[in-house]
Amino acid sequence: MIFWTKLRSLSNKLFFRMDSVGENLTPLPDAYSVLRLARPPKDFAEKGNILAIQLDQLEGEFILSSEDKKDAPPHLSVWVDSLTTPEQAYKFLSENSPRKLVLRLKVNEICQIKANSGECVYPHLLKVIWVYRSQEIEGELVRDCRPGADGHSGITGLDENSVPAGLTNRQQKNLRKDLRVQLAELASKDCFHIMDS
Amino acid sequence: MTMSTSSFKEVEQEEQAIFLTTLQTSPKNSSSTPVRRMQYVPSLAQRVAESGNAEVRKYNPLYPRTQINMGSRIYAEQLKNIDEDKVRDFSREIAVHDVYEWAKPIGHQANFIKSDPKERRGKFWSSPSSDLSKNLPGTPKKVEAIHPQQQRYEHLRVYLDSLKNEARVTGETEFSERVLNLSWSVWERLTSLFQARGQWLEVPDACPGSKNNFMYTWSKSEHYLECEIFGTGEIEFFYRNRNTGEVWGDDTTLEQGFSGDILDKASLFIE
Repeated sequence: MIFWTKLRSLSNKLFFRMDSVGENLTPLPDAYSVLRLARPPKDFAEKGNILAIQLDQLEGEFILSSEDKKDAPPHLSVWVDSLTTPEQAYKFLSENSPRKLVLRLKVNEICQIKANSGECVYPHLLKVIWVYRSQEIEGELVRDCRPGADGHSGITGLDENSVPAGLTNRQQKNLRKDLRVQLAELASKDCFHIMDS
Repeated sequence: MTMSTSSFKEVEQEEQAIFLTTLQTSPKNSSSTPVRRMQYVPSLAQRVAESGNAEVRKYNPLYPRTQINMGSRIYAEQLKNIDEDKVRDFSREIAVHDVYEWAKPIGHQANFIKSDPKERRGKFWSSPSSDLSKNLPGTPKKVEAIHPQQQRYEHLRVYLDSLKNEARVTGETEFSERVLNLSWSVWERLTSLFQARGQWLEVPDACPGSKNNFMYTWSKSEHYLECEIFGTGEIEFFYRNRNTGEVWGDDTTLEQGFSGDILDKASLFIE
């Protein structure tokens, strides 16, 4: 049994492809990194400071799975950096969007964040999942096949409904804000840059 | 304008003598003290030059004025490097006045902020004594200098104005002019409370959000504080200690004002 487990682990390492897309709404592998496009805060130009970035633009959208329509949980839209370039991701935003700051976050670090409500510490609240993009063509919802669409994924656990039960309003706010701050700090730690316009 | 060099020196030496007397006898709250201190720089340079110190080049009257305009704090720091008894005495004198300059009464600081930017920038050059310089041949042009904190204060204002323009022009922003106006009011209220205590609150980083919200953040070593302002008028403060993981939060509105806890947390970010 141990032999088979080790063999499977080895084969995963040997044949692991960074550009393979997983099943819709399933977790991303820990080794992946994701991109997030954000609006540069005030101090970015002066100090390179990005702590004030707003990582709260959650999306909940209908997406198309292989079998039927599934409702994706509210998520912060991100892009797998081995599948989508920042320029491709930018094209999915509205025209002339000010979100030109490219942040890079590691999936394993996102999942390891522990959030504090002020009373209790909660681990593993955030998850990064594949979220297939869809587009409407002639009134029909089909999977988006534009360049870079494959890398679309989402960070879940940041919305009001994902907080553990039994918390007061204040504790819920603390928890969500703590998660957001720690995400911003993770983004500050890794390399980030602004896209050429 | 036809004044010879020697007569000019005489005038200047006379001016220095007056200044030295004033520096030692005038009350500490004299608003003219900083101006006079600036005028003192060339004369000190000459004194050190006479004693043959190579460092004099730094204090040459023709040395770019910006170095001097950065304030007496830097000036006093530079003075420490000159190992001469005479200079040491003068620098101590200047340093004392420098400390006083930063602990000026609150009213003065508030007016300083609210006054016209041009007026503020010209502060050190507007006294009658500094006007002497414009009569001198070959005097370097006056260079405007602003304190970094003052500069950041103005940057925040400009940043909010640019966002307001964006909201007006595109009409498609995820934030309203109202939330930007409210954010400025929050900052002004907060900073004025600290000024009333004679303290300067660091100018925060800032960024608008997607839910008609705007956020200020302060970060210093392990301390992190944010103030999130919503278009509805709600203001949420959140603190996090990076070392201990401790978190704290409090909600308020501009009408309710800021609680003692909020001010305690904000006071971690005093300059």
